[in-house]
Amino acid sequence: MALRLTASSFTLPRADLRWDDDFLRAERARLGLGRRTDRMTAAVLSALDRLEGRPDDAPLLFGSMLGVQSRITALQNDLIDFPEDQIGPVSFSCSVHNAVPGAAAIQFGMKVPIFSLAGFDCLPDRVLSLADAVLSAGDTEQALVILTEERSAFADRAMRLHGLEPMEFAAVFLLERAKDGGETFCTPPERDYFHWIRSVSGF
Amino acid sequence: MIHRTPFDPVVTGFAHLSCAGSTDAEALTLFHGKRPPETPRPACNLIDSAISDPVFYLDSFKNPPDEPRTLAMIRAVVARALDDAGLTTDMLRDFVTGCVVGTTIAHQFTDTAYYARLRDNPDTDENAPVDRFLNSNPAEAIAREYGLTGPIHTVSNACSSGADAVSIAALCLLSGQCERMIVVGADELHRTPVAGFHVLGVTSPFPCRPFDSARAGLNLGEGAGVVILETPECAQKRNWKPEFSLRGFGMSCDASHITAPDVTGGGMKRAFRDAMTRAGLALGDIAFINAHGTGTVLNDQCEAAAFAGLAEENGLTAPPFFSTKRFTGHTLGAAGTLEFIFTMLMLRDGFVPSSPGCKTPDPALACTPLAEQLNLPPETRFAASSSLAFGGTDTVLIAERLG
Repeated sequence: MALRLTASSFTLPRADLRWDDDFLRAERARLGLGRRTDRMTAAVLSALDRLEGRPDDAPLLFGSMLGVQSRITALQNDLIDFPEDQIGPVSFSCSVHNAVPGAAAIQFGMKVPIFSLAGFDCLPDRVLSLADAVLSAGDTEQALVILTEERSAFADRAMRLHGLEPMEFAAVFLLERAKDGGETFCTPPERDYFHWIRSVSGF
Repeated sequence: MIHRTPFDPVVTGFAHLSCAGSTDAEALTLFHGKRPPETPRPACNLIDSAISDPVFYLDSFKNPPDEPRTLAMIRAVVARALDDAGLTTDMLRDFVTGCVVGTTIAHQFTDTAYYARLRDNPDTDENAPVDRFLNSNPAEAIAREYGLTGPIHTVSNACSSGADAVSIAALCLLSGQCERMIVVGADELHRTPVAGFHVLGVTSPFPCRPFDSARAGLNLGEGAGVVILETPECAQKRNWKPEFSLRGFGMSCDASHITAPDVTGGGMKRAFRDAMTRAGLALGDIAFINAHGTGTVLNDQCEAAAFAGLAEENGLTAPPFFSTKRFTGHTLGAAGTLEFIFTMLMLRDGFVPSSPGCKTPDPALACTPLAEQLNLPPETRFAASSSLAFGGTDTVLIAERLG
């Protein structure tokens, strides 16, 4: 890979490795988001809004192992508690994997290709690899990568079984194709995903 | 800035499984009207769901009880597509081969009974369902099964996932990351989307009628489509003569609403223009469009507006367009791949069906779908397939029949 990092932005957790809900509430108000905007979407939009030099024409590459947990959990709770024809329509439509980058595109008027990736084996490698492919195709100078995870009872269990200490984060990277050598941006060989996020964000 | 691609990835094989059939011959007899499309049946009689909306369920496909249904369909259809491409497992290691899977269900943990047990007892030591889930990501499972060393991606862009998988595979080939990609679109019928689309009020109590004035919504379905894409050089080195190429692809986003498409067709037009630029083609070169055509009012308005708008820009009439959803139902993550395959089958066959289920085109649409079946001139080479999705995604693929 030959990627160069030009800017980054993060919404990081408190010491208990969860996002600060007071902060997210304030960001919803600041960004004019609906009061019911879910936590992951609010965290990602906050990070994107704070990204220096955020372009509105760069493809969006979104990577999350487990997706929008607050919406997925709400949907599952609806399925447990109510007849199927009475589940919340928003719980369903906003639980789809590409709902977060879709919301980002709406918020910032980004009429761009969106790639929403899932998976467990080296997800950040995979997303950066696709960013490299997108940039190599030569149709765009920059790509925006979003990596994010949200905690829930299920997500905590899945993360632990996957060897990760459960943690919430939203990370946004603005990438270009590296030219003429120089320092390139990639994940470390040991591939400890969350450790890498801590390292690049200074958490 | 989009450019003409330096080469066109070639399609060296494909396979499909849906209520349109599991062989090319079965699908073509349906397209020719030599057998009637299936009548969708109530979901509550077929899957673990209380919803009675009619759906297209694959009775013929039996998955092993210990394997997720979508993954089982993917494994079966990948094996057939590799065979169609003349590839053995050993040959997959001769060139760098990757895999991209488009799906909306298979990457999510949807075991509601387990969620209930976890909610009742957060300290439960029952981990087996989660462990199984972590090991059943479809792209990763295919990579393990075939020992693939190229790019591995699971894309979940809602209903355009299957088409976006094709675009992602093309980007991986064009960037030089690999020489061959196994491209999959797949989804099973599952109670979550069955209930979700029902409460959104977009499901039809009748067989769907895309573009018809009496349409009442969509029918969900299930299936899998697999396309083997290679660089021309890779196919040439093994003396394989491909019949089709992916001539162009374009992706955009409406950036207007999370579930409703832009009814002016703005995003779809951008995706179409990008696909045509990559293909080095003009709208007049496109013989027909296999539209997304779900049978919802907003989908139909969006696509008709896009096709009419593009035609106006080019001083033409809109290319003939139709939807195959009446044959398969809306197969969600599978739809984009299946419909790209159907587009290639029609180019090969030289025949396009009139839009099934559409008897009286909606007069409010900006242009009307194909009213009668169409025999294509022998020199016909190019056709397009379009997809829309939640999140505002629009994707267009252009297939070329090679000489």
